[in-house]
Amino acid sequence: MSTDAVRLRFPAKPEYLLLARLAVAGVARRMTLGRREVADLKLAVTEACSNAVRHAYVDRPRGEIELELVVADDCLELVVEDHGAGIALPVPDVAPSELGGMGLPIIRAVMDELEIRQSADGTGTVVHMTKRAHDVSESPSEPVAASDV
Amino acid sequence: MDASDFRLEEDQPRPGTLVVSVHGDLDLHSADRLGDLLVAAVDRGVSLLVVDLSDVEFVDSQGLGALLRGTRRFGAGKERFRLVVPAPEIRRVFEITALDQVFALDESREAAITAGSPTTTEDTGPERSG
Repeated sequence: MSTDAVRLRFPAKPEYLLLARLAVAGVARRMTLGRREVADLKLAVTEACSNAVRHAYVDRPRGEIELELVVADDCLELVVEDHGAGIALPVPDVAPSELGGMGLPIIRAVMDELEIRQSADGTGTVVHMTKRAHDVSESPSEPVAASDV
Repeated sequence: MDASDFRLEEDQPRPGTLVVSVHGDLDLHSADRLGDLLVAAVDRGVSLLVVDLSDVEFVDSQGLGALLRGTRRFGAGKERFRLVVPAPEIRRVFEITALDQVFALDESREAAITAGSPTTTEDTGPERSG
């Protein structure tokens, strides 16, 4: 089994959310993913990064977001880390709804695994998401064309 | 499509009906522009508001929030605030969040206008003046 990792670091600003989506779509092409699965990955990474943009640096100078994409034969891991205010743990497991924040519930709905923890250096938040390839074989979705990236 | 390509177009195919076409990605970077436009349109007075998402390649919770701002400002039944969502990947976001139960989703602009026109809906909408 081969594993590759791609790391990005960008300002925690809304205009860079597209960059995160493009990176995920590009890396996802290494796997045999359907159109729906790639859309799910783009949604998940955007929600995680958007949370960091909106909440991590509210009371301090705007920092950066670190995005790590680890692609293996059987899964794709998305790790979004900020060094901001942190998040109250544990995060309640609620269903997506229009009441309250929808970001994390959406991530739970589209990814196979979600772990939220404090950064290793004690500041900020790590959102670790995993999408397993077994979902893909069960999906009738069409493969994503290069133009979709 | 680059996020800088995000744009909104307004069209009034008949009196009292406004179609807002959204082009580009609908996320934190662009959602407020849509929300502000929808609120302003409702305040100007409209009896049927159609938001056409046919040319939207991505929508997240912030985009959904902008649409919720619009429909809450509109206030009337969902029959008169309709969304055109033909792409399954975009429709899926509404299904995940159960907002497909909040919004009336149509496959085409024509279907939305027909379904929301006064001849096919009971209520008269919240048309405002001023």
